[in-house]
Amino acid sequence: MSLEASHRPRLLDVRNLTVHLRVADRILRAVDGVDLFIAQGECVGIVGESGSGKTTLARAMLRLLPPVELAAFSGEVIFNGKEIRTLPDAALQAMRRQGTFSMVFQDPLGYLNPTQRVGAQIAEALPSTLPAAAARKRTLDLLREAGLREAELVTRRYPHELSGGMRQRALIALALAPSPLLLVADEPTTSLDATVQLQVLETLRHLHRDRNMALAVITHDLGLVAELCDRVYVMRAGKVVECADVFTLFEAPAHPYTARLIELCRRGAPRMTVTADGALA
Amino acid sequence: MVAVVFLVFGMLQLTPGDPVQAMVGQYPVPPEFRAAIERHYHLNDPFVSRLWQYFANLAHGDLGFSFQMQRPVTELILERAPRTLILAASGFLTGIPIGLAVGLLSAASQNPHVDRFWTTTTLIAYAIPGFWLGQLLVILFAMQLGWFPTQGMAPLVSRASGFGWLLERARYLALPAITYAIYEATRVARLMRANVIETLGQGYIVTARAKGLSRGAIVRRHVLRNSSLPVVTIMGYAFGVAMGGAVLIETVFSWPGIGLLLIEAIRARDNQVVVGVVLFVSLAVILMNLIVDLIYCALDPRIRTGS
Repeated sequence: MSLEASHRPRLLDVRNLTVHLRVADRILRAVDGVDLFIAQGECVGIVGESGSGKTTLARAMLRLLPPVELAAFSGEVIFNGKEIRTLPDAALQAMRRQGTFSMVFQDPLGYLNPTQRVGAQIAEALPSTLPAAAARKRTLDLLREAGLREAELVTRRYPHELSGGMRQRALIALALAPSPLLLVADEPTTSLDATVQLQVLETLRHLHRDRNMALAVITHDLGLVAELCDRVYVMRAGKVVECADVFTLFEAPAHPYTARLIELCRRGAPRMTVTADGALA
Repeated sequence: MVAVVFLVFGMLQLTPGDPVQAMVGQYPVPPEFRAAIERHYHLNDPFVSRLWQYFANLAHGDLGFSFQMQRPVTELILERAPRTLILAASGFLTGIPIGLAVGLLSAASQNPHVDRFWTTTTLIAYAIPGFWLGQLLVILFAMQLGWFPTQGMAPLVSRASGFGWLLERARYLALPAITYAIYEATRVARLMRANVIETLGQGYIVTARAKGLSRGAIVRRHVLRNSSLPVVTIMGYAFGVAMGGAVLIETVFSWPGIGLLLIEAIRARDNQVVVGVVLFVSLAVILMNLIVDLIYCALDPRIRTGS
């Protein structure tokens, strides 16, 4: 699967990406010369501990970092042959609406507008040329595809009236609205209960397979990566320290940091944290 | 409300000054006159007995009698309240939209110079005391340019009727209302700027950007409403307080509203009027808080399900 995947044409190609963020008065080297690619229809995992720069990398490659926070942003981000790092805002907005890439965020409550009904928020991501009735039907279909059976009810609800799992699914439905070729899911299961985690995982797997959509999963959970991904990038302190197909990574990790992550995962460490000297604890 | 009456009554009891002397002015008070007044208005009765009497009257909707103006307090307040309401309403209705617009422009602009300009301007305007600003406006627009009258609410005699009458009143209202509006606008602008900056940092703004919405659409659909919510609370409360009259503005422009009534009553030791006005203001504040809660309920779905 993985070998086959890497021979497919590349959908996203990131070369020497560097992102420096302005945090308070300091400049943080969040992403430091990262090379990465995602082939069409492939599922790629990006793993690393909290603060390793994986979320920043994901947002940077989708141009979702707030410009005010960016101190430096260099390298190449090529999506379907188009350089998007330097793309003007209007062209980028058009590209997003046409369904190229979208993102599922970690905290579904914070990433949904609290004063708008869920249905309206999903419909907003649909093409504005769509007639109201068609938009409504499409919204319901998307919610069902994201695994929400009571779609009708959910469209009329506000985010705070839904459970954590339902919110995450609503956010997935929203991300699917422009029919993206690449879906980036940032810690899609972290904020959920164990049983709901499994269901959402299953939903992502279905979507990836049925839509033949490339999927990038950003997580600190190696179990999730083993379940879902073809290929894995391991990040530490803003750099990619290892890239391998999922079997090689688990059977023979090349980097000691990866080996340590896997060992911690096997022992069932609840959450990895970084100590002051940068080691895992 | 009971506590308010008790507190104000007690405080007035402790303030120095002689109401009868204030009535007569600079001249010595004849002892028989003093005795008659004190008997008639129960000025020498014990504190508890006067308080009890006040509550008994209050139960009948009677706020007492102004012995300086020789009119019932209720009538005085009902006469002055609409004037204060007109002044405050015109100040708020022009000030709030301007403040919202300036705050939004300041925070949402991508040009740092725009933000700096408006932040500095609002800070300067905020720091200028209302009464001084009022006087500056009078000097410029009333005395130098002669566009507006210097003070009062209407000319002593007027032949105007219909639309002309309305226009004449509007000219008197203009300067105090502008002073009011500038003050409210700066308050709203500062609050709104902070709210918009906070909202722009929220996750759902990232979601909106990921949808491919333009900056204008994001501000219109996701920033405006959510940032205006806290303004509703603050301004609703401020409007209730404003029913007590903007004492300084009303004094500068001799606008015969509640604020001026309160000042006159305090100067004349007309205690029943003072208590009446304070009671009226506290009622207005409570009422406005209720209205704010209802508006908030309509604007914020999170409150709706909570209640």
